Amino acid sequence: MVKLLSANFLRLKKDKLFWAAVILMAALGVFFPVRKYLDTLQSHYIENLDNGFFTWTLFIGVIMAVFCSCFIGTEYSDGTIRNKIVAGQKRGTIYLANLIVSSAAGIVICAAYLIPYLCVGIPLFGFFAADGKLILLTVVTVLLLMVAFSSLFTFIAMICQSKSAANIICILLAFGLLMTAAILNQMLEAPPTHMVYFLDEDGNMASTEEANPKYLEGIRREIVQTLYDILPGGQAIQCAIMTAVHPLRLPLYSLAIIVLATGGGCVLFQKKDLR
Amino acid sequence: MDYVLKANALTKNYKHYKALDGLSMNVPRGAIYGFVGKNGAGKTTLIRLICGLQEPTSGDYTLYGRKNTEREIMNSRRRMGAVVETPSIYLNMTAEDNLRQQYRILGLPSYDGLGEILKLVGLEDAGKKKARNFSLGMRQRLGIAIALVGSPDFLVLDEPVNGLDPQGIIEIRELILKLNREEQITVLISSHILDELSRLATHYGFIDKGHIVREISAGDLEAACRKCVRLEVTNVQALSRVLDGMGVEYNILSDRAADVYAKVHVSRLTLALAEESCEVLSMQERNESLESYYISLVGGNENG
Repeated sequence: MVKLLSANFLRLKKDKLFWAAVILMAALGVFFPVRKYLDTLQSHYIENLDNGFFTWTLFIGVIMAVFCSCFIGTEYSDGTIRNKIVAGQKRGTIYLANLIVSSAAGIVICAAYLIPYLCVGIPLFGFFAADGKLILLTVVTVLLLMVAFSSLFTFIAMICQSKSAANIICILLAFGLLMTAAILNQMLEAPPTHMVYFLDEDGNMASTEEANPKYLEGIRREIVQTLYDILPGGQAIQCAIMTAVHPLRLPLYSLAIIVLATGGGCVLFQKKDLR
Repeated sequence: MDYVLKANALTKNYKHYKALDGLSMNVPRGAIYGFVGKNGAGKTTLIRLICGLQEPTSGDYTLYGRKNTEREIMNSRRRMGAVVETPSIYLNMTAEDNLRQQYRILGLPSYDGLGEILKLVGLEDAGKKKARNFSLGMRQRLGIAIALVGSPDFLVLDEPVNGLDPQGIIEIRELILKLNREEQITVLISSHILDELSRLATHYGFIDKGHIVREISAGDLEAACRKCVRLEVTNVQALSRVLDGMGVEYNILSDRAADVYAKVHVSRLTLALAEESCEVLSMQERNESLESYYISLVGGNENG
């Protein structure tokens, strides 16, 4: 494992896509607080550090989809995965080494945003307004979410021997997860009642409050909420706007995704006929 | 005899297609084993199996005395290097960086010998050029260089001269011979370019429809191949009459050419032909080629 990690990190160090993502995130980490500060000066609306700190989590799925499918897919497109197997490395070790390096890359990409954001944001806005524990919990959730995304995309990139196919599947999955989560969010955000407008007997406009048939209740709400919590896209939205209903459950769901995706991926990769 | 690789009744099925059908073969230590067969005969499938890229459906193989079902087969694999189909190289890296990767994969403590490997394969001047910009021959040599990291004593090369220009073919041939003679590396080399293989191989394994049709040493093959003289004449009927008169075995190839399977006395033959008003246009001494031996083994018509 150490040998493969050493080789993979050496490759990561020379990976242009990785450095491009790091530079882009670092630039965004500087740009967002500065722009927010300039807006504050113009609008005189008082902003705080919290607002926007986690917005980027909406994009981590897409970022990881592109990165994992390219970084791991190269092993297939260039055929270099064969070198590892011929060198006597176990398949499970190859799989885990790729997952670890992809996750580490993801965490570095996160840090590339967070550190400049804090360095620029704290002098401009002061420290967080929200409870420190909530911020810390959200950071942990986001990092685990990053690894969960990595495990899903590593699964696809390791099982699919075509780099371009893996690219497409991973990106579609990332957007699919986000869109599904947006639909679930819309379902959960539906108000319990809504106003109905009508003309009364005198011909005047009148309104009455009626129960919203789209409002989810009972077991249906539980199911949709659980799905929203489990889906990485749902977690990304909840982290981005820091409105998680069950904040403690999210890291546990991410852990479950990591274990299931990695376990399943290792078993399938073990049996896979490589070209 | 000491064998590096022994395959026993190996079978590999892909759904309903049988790529290997009870293949058995033996690669002696120190040999350059030419693995001969047409496209789709099962050469690459066998190489994928012994490299651990795929598992056999049935049968087994032994690599340095360890069966493929044993956990220690991984240790045996560390003694081999392979280039399967296309060279396995990172295209966005230089030759040196590609070798550094392999050094790390093998867990070698330092990059000692990296320069020597590059020199051995003639890539010492590749510098900062990315493998993406290499010629096919350079990529092939880099693939072999990667396979040589860790000083393997068994090298598996799948179609190493495919698509190379004549200069590239010569370079790869000389490299393989050098590795075998100077480094005592056993080489399993698959190819369907028979003429090229005949310049390298010390042993042959002929594969057809997923099984070995014959294994033979280069010496035995040479003895089995018949020498002949190819004659081009103005009148092949006259030639036929003269050769019948001499009691010599021959084979008519066309209305102007024939192969004569005997050491002919040239003056006597040309005089005899002159008496029949037949002129000799050309005369070439030929060995029955590896190609014709292969065709005779696997069936000429089928292999066109």
